[in-house]
Amino acid sequence: MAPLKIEEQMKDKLEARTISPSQDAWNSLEAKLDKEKPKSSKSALWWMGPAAAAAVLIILLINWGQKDEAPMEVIPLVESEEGGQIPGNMEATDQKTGNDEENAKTEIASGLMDEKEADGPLHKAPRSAKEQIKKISVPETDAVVAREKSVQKIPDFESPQAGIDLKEETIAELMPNEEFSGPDELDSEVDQLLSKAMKNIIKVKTVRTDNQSIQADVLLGEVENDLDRSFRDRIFKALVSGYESVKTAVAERNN
Amino acid sequence: MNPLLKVIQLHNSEKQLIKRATENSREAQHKIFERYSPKMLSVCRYYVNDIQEAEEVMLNGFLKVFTHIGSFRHDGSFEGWIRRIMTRESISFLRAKRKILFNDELPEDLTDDTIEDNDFDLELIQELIDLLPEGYRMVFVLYAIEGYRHKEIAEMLSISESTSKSQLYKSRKLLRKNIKNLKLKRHGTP
Repeated sequence: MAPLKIEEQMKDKLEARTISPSQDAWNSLEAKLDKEKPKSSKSALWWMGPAAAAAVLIILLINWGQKDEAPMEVIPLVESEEGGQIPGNMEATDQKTGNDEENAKTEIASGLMDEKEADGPLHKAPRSAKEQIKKISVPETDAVVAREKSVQKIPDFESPQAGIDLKEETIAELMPNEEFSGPDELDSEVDQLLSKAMKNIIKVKTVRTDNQSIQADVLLGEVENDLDRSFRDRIFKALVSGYESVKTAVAERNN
Repeated sequence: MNPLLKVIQLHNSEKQLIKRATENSREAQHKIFERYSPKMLSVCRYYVNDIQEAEEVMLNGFLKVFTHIGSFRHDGSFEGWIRRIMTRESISFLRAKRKILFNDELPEDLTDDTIEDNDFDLELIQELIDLLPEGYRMVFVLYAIEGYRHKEIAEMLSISESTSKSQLYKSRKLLRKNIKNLKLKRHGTP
């Protein structure tokens, strides 16, 4: 809409107008400005507080993380009846079926392995690989302590170096005549040994040789895991076969 | 002195004044207030009926001017910048004071009745504007007096462009009606 003449007139006159403020207008504005000033400084300090707290928290978290990473403790070797060695060829032992678990136990510090399972050739880990072996902490049970004479309990290491030293000492005691092979291939072997050892620990936990009783919860958990897997496979197979039969039926009906 | 040189001097002095005000110089702020407050009070008075409330709005506007003076980029006139702050402050005051309703319907008859070209005094003009309801008044002043476009008015008032146009049309109609009534009241003839 185009501006009307009257509107232009109004605009011109209003633009030219001025209205003087009251006498104490500046005083009241000055008071407001003075109030505003300390607020702005307060607001500047205000964000610094949470920022400092956040920085402290981050530093604490970093330190906490470093502390968590610190205990990379070495598992002392367990002496087996046969005076075995650390399994050298981890891939070869993986390929074995029932004997794999039997061959892996000498690495486990708590000595929860079965005596009969200490079979197979073992290689000593080199000094560098030893540092990478994580400590597996296992709760002590009366049955375990009573059963295994040659088992060394895992001490409460206060520092990773103490764990490493203990392991070296244990290796030296148990395998005085063995020589260390190269670090690279043994690192992976050690990892595999550790995983197998964990399985053995769980297995041993479920069985107490003195009472021949089984811990129901752990066994149930294992069974459920197996069942889930097999149940899933069955479901998938059933779905596939069902789909095939429906497809065939529809095709035949149409024909 | 050459008028152009005078303007340049004034501009440089204003720049220095703004710079000092940015540094929280009370003296500089007072000078700026003295220079622009009469005009800005008039601007606030377009929107706010009561002179005391208009002054309060103006003071709040200057408070914002001095707290945000550091954000002034010198890309336009300083007076224009202050004026925009006053306009927004006035609108905020009116909206906070009472709920302002805008009618969305577009009028069917868009033809304008002509008004006789008369000389209106300032008092009458302000009185005519004061008689308009807040919604009409805001749109009328923003468009006819301040020179904003409907798109800008719609953004400022959070309404549609069509609402802005319809409000302007209605305000003009009401204005004409009020002019006739006031003339009748004053002079006995419409």
